Amino acid sequence: MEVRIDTVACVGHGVCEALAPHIFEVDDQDKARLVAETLEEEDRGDLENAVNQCPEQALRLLG
Amino acid sequence: MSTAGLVVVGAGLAGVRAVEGARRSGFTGPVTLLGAETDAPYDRPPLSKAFLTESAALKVLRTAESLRDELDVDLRLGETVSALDPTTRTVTVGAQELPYAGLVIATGSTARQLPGMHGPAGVHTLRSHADAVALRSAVRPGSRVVVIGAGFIGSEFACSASHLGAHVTVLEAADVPLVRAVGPAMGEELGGLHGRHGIDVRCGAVVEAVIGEDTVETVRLADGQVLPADVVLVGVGAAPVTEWLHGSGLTIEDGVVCDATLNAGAPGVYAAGDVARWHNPTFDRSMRLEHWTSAAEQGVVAGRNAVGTGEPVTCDVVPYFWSDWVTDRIQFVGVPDSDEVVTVAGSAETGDLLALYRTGDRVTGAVGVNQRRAVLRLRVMIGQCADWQEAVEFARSTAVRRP
Ligand SMILES: Cc1cc2nc3c(=O)[nH]c(=O)nc-3n(C[C@H](O)[C@H](O)[C@H](O)COP(=O)(O)OP(=O)(O)OC[C@H]3O[C@@H](n4cnc5c(N)ncnc54)[C@H](O)[C@@H]3O)c2cc1C
Ligand code: SF4
Repeated sequence: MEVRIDTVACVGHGVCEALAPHIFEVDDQDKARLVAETLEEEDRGDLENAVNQCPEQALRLLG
Repeated sequence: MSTAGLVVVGAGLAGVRAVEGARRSGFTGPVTLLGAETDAPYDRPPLSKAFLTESAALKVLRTAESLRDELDVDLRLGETVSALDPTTRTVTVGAQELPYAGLVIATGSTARQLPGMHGPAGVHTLRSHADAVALRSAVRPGSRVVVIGAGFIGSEFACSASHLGAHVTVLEAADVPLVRAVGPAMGEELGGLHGRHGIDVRCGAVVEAVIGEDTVETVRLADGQVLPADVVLVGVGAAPVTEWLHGSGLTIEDGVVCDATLNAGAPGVYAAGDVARWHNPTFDRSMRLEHWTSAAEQGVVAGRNAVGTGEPVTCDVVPYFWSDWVTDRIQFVGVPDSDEVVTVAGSAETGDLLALYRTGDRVTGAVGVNQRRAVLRLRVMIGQCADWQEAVEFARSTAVRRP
């Protein structure tokens, strides 16, 4: 399982961070980045939520 | 006749998320998604922003192919549902009575009109792709644009039009703009943003008539003033699309009235998005939102609950919306009514406002201009019923200050 952040599309709403703070963080450039070192199967629900609710469709879940 | 499955009425954001939510919860039965528009489900927020200012392409939420092939949806675009009968569990589409086991009502809202003012060409509203195409070709450098209503869509459009070189005047009947969305104190404060973008806003300006034979020529105010206009945008809010539900027996009170699980009071019938008025457990009150993020959240919950593969879940939402005024982003979380609003940093005029709303000893809302990091974290704190003092300290330490 892997999550891709399209940093061009991302405009830093921070919805992903609000939903899954242990996985995402919005940095000083207003871009999301991963804070989790590895993604666990139990994170799948949170990840799917973040992918669906990112208003810019900047997140993609692979695998 | 095929077996009844999930039927979703309205192929906008909430409708698409409902279909996705149903499939993700493991539902493998038939799914039908009906939409009155002919475009594949698309995203509305850019229509008042980049679609105008950068001639951006229409942003599709999910392509028709992806809906049909990946989610196995019977996608029926360009079809309007005209009635619902919860006793027979059917909806009417043209001459067809379509049966459902689960139904999601996701018909969204439409732009309100001002009676008698939409006659001449050049008078617009902004809700759909077609509306935005018409406005994009109407606004030219030097055009005289009058916006009626200083709400978010009117304000965004005003900024975009001004960015394109038009001369823009915004007329607002109330004394303070944006009151309903952010409350009086912050409405006044955000008025400073219009100034920052060089837009002339006249509050307390009541429009009496839009004048023109074939094409609009002027806008007349109640105090007798006459403003010349090439383009008029009526931005006086949105009304939930519920006419088709008359006679269904559902309770309609400025939206389809739903419980905390988005159930609309009939077995298997749920509502989501701009059309839904539901009991939001997070604030223990009934509300109807017209925001992107909650429409998405509600869609997922309604889709999942409508196919009934598990216990119905409640839809707990801390409201969130953003508004982009070309380069400035306003963000609001929570609810606008409160005991007190405290400005923690900056101002709207300098583009670095951050303010918090207090109810009792809790933080219940926040508004920011270009304070992206702080606002969404405050959304989490509001959802966790965070203590006021803790929120203020957090906001002070996280706020970005512009020199
Ligand atoms: C110009 C604009 C800018 C916006 N900007 C922002 C923003 O910056 N931030 C933010 O948070 N929100 C914004 N919003 C609000 C956000 O887009 C809406 O909250 C969201 O689109 C609601 O989704 P929905 O699916 O409930 O309704 P809609 O998107 O309205 O979709 C409903 C669909 O149902 C169809 N339909 C209606 N009746 C029937 C019927 N009887 N049969 C079949 N189909 C039917 C309609 O044609 C429509 O396609 C903006 C809205 C607009 C118009
Ligand atoms: S929600 Fe989307 S746009 Fe917002 S910060 Fe996360 S990835 Fe970026």
